[in-house]
Amino acid sequence: MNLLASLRSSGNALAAFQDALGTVQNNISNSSTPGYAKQRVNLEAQPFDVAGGLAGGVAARGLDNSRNEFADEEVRRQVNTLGRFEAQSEAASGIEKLFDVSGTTGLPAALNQLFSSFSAWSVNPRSTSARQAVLDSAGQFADQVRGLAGSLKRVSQNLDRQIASTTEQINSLATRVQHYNVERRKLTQPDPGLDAQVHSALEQLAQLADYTAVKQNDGTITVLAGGGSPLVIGENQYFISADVSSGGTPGNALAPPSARILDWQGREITEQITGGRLGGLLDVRNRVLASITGDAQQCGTLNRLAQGLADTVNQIFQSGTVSPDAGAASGAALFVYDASDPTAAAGNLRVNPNLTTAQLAPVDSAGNANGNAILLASLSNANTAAGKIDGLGPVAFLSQIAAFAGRESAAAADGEQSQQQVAAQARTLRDQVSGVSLDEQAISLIQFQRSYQATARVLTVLSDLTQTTIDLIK
Amino acid sequence: MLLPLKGTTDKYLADLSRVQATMDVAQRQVSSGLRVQRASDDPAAVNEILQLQADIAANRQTQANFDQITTEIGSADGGLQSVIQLMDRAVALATQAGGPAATAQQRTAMAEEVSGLQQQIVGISQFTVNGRYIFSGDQDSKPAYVLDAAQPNGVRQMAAAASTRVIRDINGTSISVAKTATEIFDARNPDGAPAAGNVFAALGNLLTALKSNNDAGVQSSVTALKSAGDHVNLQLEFYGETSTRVIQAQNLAKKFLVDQKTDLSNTRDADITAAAIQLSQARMQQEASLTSQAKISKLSLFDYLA
Repeated sequence: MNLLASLRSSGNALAAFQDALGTVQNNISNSSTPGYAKQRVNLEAQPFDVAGGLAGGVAARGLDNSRNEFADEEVRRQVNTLGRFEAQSEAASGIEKLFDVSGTTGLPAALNQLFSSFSAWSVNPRSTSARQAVLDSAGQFADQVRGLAGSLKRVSQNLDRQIASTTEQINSLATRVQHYNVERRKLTQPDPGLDAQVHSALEQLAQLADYTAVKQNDGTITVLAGGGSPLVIGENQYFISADVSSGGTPGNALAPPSARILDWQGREITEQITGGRLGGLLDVRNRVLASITGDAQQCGTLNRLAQGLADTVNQIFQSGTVSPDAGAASGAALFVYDASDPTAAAGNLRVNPNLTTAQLAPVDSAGNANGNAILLASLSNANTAAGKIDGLGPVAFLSQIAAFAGRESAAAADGEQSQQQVAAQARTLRDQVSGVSLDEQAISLIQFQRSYQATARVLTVLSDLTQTTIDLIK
Repeated sequence: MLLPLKGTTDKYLADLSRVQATMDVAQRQVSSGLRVQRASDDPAAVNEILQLQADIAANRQTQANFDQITTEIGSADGGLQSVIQLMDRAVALATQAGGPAATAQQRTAMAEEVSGLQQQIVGISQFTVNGRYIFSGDQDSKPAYVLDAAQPNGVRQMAAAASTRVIRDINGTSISVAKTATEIFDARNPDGAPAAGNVFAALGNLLTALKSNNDAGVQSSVTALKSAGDHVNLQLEFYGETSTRVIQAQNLAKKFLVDQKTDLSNTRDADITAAAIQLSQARMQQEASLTSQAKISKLSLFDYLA
């Protein structure tokens, strides 16, 4: 083996260590970069045969990527579930707040006040002031029902905006993946920076919606939403969109539309989106909220309460008379609502605008002077047979709606809290495998620095020896 | 959107968030005294809470109704007691006017007094409470009787409706709360003729007998007056019994109210002691967590490489 071969070998070693140091530097620089997985230079010993003239040494042979796709996939799965719970919790909490359970305000208080006014009226059925109190209480009750329906409508509109915004975010992230695919096809080797960017985008996408990401042989990533609708295939992106302008209306043409997600061809894929923020928002919008406010398939529990109570009260009034006097007129309906749309009963419930105090009918069909007033007051009692809605009294039915909203909110909040732990655990496990540890990088830095210094020293010695040899020739 | 950079930091923040949520719940309970402020605090308890609130509101209104009815019954009771005294006076006058000793002049003077008694009794039959004629039955917007000298019994009936109005106690039992002036003062047989115990007829007959100086008529009216007094006494018993029933119903409603409030408190109110302890524990947990996090070295090996 000659000196020149050793010199060349040492030079190669210096280059390899420079690559290693550069990799350490890159790891340190990206230690806080989302999606980045630590890299390591693959150092390879060179053939060494003194007799054969092979000087040995070391060479850098590409980078080892510490990314563990299974750990990444697990993080995305947990983040997806967390995104769903977070969205559900936030949205369901907004609905739940509209149902006051303190009994001092809101619909429950107005309902109690209405029943109390009936009860007070029963003591003095002819009293104009007692009758006026009934009209006033009925008006306040109708105001509260309409107010609640209006608030729920605003929640629905807000959810629609969030769904549209989330859909835009999904498209934006899909664009990033598509750009990655374009860049990836230009490269022969994977680029750690590009790899970090796309994995960061995929993790953010997981928080928004459930999807399947498949790595193709050419290094590009195919992303399929939910049940298989394409988002990104190769260099092509397929945009999804949110639609709240129309809905299926088999049961009620006037019903408010559900929120729908459409694929790039305009086909509905709403049912395929069950996870992530979008899945959570859709669930609250199309299931939780719709069960209260109604949609094409159901009239909604709030509307049923408004309609059920109004019908019961009206039927009682109309079955009686305005006084026990002979020939007294029959009672008139207390409430009016738009019966043409079962999903709008709560939204337009009002006290009959043509009704006067004189037209209220406290006398029942048997002629009892306060029979109707007593029956109306008794509707607040859970054991009263009259006025049942699905077998429940008005108070119990309202309680059921409030409890439903509360249950959904509580379940989502509990899920969010526990899922935060699970997602954090998954991230911790991933970081242990592919995260950048500064201590580890410091050790590597020292190690490669020492190797570089030692090799440089060897190079100096070899240089001296070579110089000595040259001097001999002189 | 920024993703957490480190799983361990993420986990630490999730733990802190959980502790903070526990503190928030405990804090809300301590400051409000309520365990259930929102439906999500305990969805299973919502139905019971709202139904109890409705029951309490209904109970309070029932008690207010009873207070109003009690005033009515008290007025009716007081009025009938006065009628009994007036009838006693009528019996005394009739007794005094009966027999040969009484002169026509004396009977005329007594007739004046009996006429006054009649006016007072008709006035009592026109008692009102809160604008309602309490003896007019279901036609309580007008008096049941007015004086009318042209009538044989000296009064004219203005309202003949029965009293169908009842009040419900907390259990839903109906209590009939009033008698009509017809039942009290103008009892009649099925054929429409005045029955024994008819106050207006007895007074009317006495008045007629006194004015016409009819000794036999005066003497015979004594029995009718006594019978009428007994009848009014009987009606008074109704108000006494009703008053008792109303008082019992009020007491029952008050007892129910206590039970309902207790049930509501048990369901809705917070265990302040437990909440305070929970708050204290969570705060300690939070402080320990923050302190331990602060003590974890933020240095890496690079800090030691000079």
